Amino acid sequence: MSDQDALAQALAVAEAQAAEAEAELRAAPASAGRGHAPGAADALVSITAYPNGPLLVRGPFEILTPDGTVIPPGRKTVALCRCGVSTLKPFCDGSHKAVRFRTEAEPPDNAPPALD
Amino acid sequence: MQIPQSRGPVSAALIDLLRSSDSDSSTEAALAAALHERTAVALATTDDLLLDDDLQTALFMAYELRYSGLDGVDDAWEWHPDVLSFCADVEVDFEIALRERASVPELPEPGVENVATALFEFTGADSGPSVSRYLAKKATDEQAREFLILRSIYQLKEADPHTWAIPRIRSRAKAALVEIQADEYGGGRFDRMHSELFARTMRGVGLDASYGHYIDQVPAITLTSSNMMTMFGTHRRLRGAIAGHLAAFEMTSSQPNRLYGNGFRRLGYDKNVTYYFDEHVEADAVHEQIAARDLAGSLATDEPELLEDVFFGAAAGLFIDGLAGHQQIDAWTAGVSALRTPATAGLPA
Repeated sequence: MSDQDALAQALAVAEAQAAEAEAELRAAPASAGRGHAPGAADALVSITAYPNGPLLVRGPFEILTPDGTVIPPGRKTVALCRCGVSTLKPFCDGSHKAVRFRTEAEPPDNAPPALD
Repeated sequence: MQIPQSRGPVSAALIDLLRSSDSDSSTEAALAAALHERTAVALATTDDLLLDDDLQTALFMAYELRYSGLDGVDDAWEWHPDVLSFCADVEVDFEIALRERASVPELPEPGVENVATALFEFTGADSGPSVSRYLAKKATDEQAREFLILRSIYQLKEADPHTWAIPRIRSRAKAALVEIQADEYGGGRFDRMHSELFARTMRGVGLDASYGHYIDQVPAITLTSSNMMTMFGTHRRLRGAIAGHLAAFEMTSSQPNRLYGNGFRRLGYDKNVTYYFDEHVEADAVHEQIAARDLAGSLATDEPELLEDVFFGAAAGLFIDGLAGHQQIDAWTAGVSALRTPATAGLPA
């Protein structure tokens, strides 16, 4: 098998796995959202740490209160407060700018090296 | 929308031309020549194009053909050479005026992080007038309605001028712009579209939310603000400016919207009226991050020749909306209406 064929086959397997994981997650009841395999969540939900600002969450996530009640996100991409000053917690309201909130350098020092 | 009333010789000439669809070609040519001549005179003699009622009304009308059209006017006028030529004549001076008067900050080196940081610093240092603080603390019910009337010219087509940029940019910046705009349009739900939420707020205080209903009551600067966005959005050449404009708009929106909401709550209005503002506190806290880094930062990095225009668009937006804010607060603190004619006519008591 040539390198290109091997690559194509690996990609096809990865795609099939991702599709399977997504189907599994969609089929799961909302309350079971926390229990699925970490690999599936990693493929589907992303959390981006914006410098000196909030965490932006994209994907089929749900946000719960400590007693398990779902907090409606209101939109597809949400910004979660990480400065602690927002009056809309868990969501960001832009207050971090007023208090000049500063984050560590991104990404953190213990992050694995980039693979590309 | 309805055809606006003319505010001088240029807007009158454009109205005559747009209504001349059934005329013979020699009549149309004469009307087009009159428009061209009057535009040249007006541009040469205006005290300030940015505050010129006649020229900005005429440009707004010509631009409106690119949005929802004008009642009784053939849509074919949008691309008619006489109308395009009129727009081009005004746009030359309009762009020069904006570039001369909007203070662009020192440009950062290209790079997503550099551009985003510089935009946050620039917009954070904006010392424009605070209509939001006035609304929160002092505005009367009548002034709060005037605020909605002034805002209605843009907010009833909220997001549309920036949407023009989607097919004009590529890569990460395009994906970022689509992500913001999808949210502006309610994520596909009509009742959550921001323009529709604004209409609900207007109806909640007894105002008419029909598109363009208050066009004849708003001062030139309100039209200038809208025209600036349309000029930036509909010229591929200015795609850096429309991206920068959106970034600055989103970056100076979250906290003011909290204050607007507080103002309407202070005046006794319920969630039906304040929801638009409350929604924007949260939405724009998301949008500003995406707009600064993923849209403006990526665009200026992928196309470094656009870096200056990203900051020009941001500066022009803050400058024009600052002028508009000054006019409102000056009028209100002097105890007079910020509209051209009092908004009370035709409103329920």
